[in-house]
Amino acid sequence: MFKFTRKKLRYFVFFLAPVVILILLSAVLIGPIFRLVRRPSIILTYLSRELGGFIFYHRNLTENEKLKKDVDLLRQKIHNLNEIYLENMRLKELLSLKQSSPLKVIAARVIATSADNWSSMLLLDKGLHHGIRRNMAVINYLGLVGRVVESSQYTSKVMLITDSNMGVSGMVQRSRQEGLVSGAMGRNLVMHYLPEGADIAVSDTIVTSGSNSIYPKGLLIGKVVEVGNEFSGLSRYAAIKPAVLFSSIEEVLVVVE
Amino acid sequence: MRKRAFFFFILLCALLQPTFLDAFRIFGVKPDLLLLSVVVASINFKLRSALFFSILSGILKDAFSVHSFGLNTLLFPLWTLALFFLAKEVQLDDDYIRIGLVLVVALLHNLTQGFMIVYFGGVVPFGIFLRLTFLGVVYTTAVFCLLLRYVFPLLSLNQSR
Repeated sequence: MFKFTRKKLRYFVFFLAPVVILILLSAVLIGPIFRLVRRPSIILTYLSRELGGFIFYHRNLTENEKLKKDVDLLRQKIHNLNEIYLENMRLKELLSLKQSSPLKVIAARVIATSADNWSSMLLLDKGLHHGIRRNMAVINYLGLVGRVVESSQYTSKVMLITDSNMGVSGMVQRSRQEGLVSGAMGRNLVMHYLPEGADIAVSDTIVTSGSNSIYPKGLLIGKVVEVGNEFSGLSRYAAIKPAVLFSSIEEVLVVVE
Repeated sequence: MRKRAFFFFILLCALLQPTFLDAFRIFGVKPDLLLLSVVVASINFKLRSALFFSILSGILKDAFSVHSFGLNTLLFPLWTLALFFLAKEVQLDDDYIRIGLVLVVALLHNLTQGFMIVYFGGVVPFGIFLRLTFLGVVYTTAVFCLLLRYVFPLLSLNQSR
């Protein structure tokens, strides 16, 4: 039978007391202990991870390759979605113009541009088969783009208003002053044959005058950025910044009627 | 084999010229890959083949231009003939001479095109005329140097006929 002697009690107290003290001090000691253990545990974890990486190298490699493929696929998907989103925005703008415009138009996509530096041209993915004929005006939601100069069964060539061979009868929207707008192979267009006292000023809006049968009246051409005298001194000219951004045209509308 | 490879090279140039190269325009100017192919054909092939390739290049270039159809189809074989007769008088084996040839041919071609446009009533301001002519020449020659180093060896086009 268990006999609680003085000696046993001493031993019991001797062992129990530190345990009790440790329990009571645990809240205080836990911080320093963790700090003490942290560094070796980090090293051990690192070593075990490296060892695991070494042992499971092949498994990780194949998994890594698979994940990389997945990332590439997802990146591609995001890129495609962005492209579709941008196209959607552009088509919405075109559609809104198509619906609001009294003109009968055909939407077409730009598939190529001019092969040389001396002409400004667009190649469209629609032609005679879709009802596009020579000398039809081409616009986009920003304004006048050019006119169709050649049309085959499934493609059409459009000469841009920036081409030096292009001439459009334009007028100042504010004063109704008419002139001939032509391209100069540069960024700006030039409005010629303005009389000496022509009412035209910088930042005036230029639209088509409708004087010829190709371009309907009121299509936006651009804004005046400079007015000056012609070299001959007999008339004035105006430099016009086109409303259309020609470097980034992807879809256009061909005015059929 | 060389001829077939070069034929596909010209088709590739014709596809890149009006599409991909637009992304590489500098001040509205892009290099003329089809003109380069004409010079290369004139140096590397016999007269008949070279003329065939230059006419093909001219037709392909004219197909993607709006001004006076046939100008390139006419000019390209002329450059081929000129280079062919020049090759009889002068050795064209050195790369620097070839680069010089491209420079001269591109300059003549650009000047002819520019003057033709002006002659037919087009309005090209003098500054823009100079820019299109000279920057076009420099750009085309620079691209030729790259092709000479990296592409033509693949097509076995570095030796004379």
